[in-house]
Amino acid sequence: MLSEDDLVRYSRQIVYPHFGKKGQEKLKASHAVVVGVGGLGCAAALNLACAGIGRISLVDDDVIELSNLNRQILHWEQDVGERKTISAMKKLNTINSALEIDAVCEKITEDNVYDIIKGANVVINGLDDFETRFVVNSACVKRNVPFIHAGISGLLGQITTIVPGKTPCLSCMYPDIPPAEDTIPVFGVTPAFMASLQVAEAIKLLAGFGETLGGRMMYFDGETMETYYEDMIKDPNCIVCGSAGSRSQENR
Amino acid sequence: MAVKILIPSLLRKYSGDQEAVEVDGGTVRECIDILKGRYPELERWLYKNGKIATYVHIFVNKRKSCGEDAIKDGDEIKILMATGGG
Repeated sequence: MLSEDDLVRYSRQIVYPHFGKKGQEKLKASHAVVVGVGGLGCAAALNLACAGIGRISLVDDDVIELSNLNRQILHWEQDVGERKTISAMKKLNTINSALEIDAVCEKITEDNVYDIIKGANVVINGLDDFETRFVVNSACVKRNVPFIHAGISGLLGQITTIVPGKTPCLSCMYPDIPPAEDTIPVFGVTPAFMASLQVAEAIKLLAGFGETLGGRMMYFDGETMETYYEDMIKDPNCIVCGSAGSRSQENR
Repeated sequence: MAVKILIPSLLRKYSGDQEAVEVDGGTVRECIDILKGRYPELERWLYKNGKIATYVHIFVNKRKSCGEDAIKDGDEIKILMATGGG
């Protein structure tokens, strides 16, 4: 149920066609988990809070360094040395005090990932490595939770939405684990842009309108301001969501 | 025949800081092989078990392409890598 304040605060969203009060009520009743509270995660969490997602869980075990401040927009000079989850939670509580914000200061592993995503309506990726993305991808597939993947490097970004049972998962797309760069270059605009797109995907999924990037990868090249799209194919033998995955799930 | 390969920023340190390299090949795979021949350090980024890796996304004239696709004079090959930063 929306409050009088909600009707005013979200009035510019509520007037959007196919969204309305019902769409806003769905956002208010939703739980988003943001895994990684760095460049992508800060911008995603900020946009989720502004949009009125009722519960947001922030997951990260890292502390803030000065070199984070060019892109991690919820962390400020005064926060250097603070835990990222706590810093971000404080800002979000100030931006939108009506929301429930959880700070989960843990490193994501195969052992705790199911607890971390428990009850989530959507999981938004803010992680900076593929290995942990695969752990979250697998748990989301097994628990039937949509997972919005994005990744960045420099001025390059990529994004897709994984809807278990409907779209390819991250393991279908990347049977080979991509190699990691030693130091990933980044301008703050890249994660800010890609995270905004992640939240656009989340809003559509949660409120139930529009068309997502399910089954498609979008690439953004900020050097040329070009976008590229690729249809992603579901692998029937995928170790996570295919027949091989079903076998491993039975054994779990 | 001249085909231009556009190198993504994260690989330029392995391609002599070149943003674009001209090659002469009949297919996408041949063009990428020629590129690797000139800049051997690219091999570990572009190939997996002798094939172009699944995390290497290739577009020809902005359309998604695969290794066997034929190339013609003036085509532009764009390499995009899976980006894992957050």
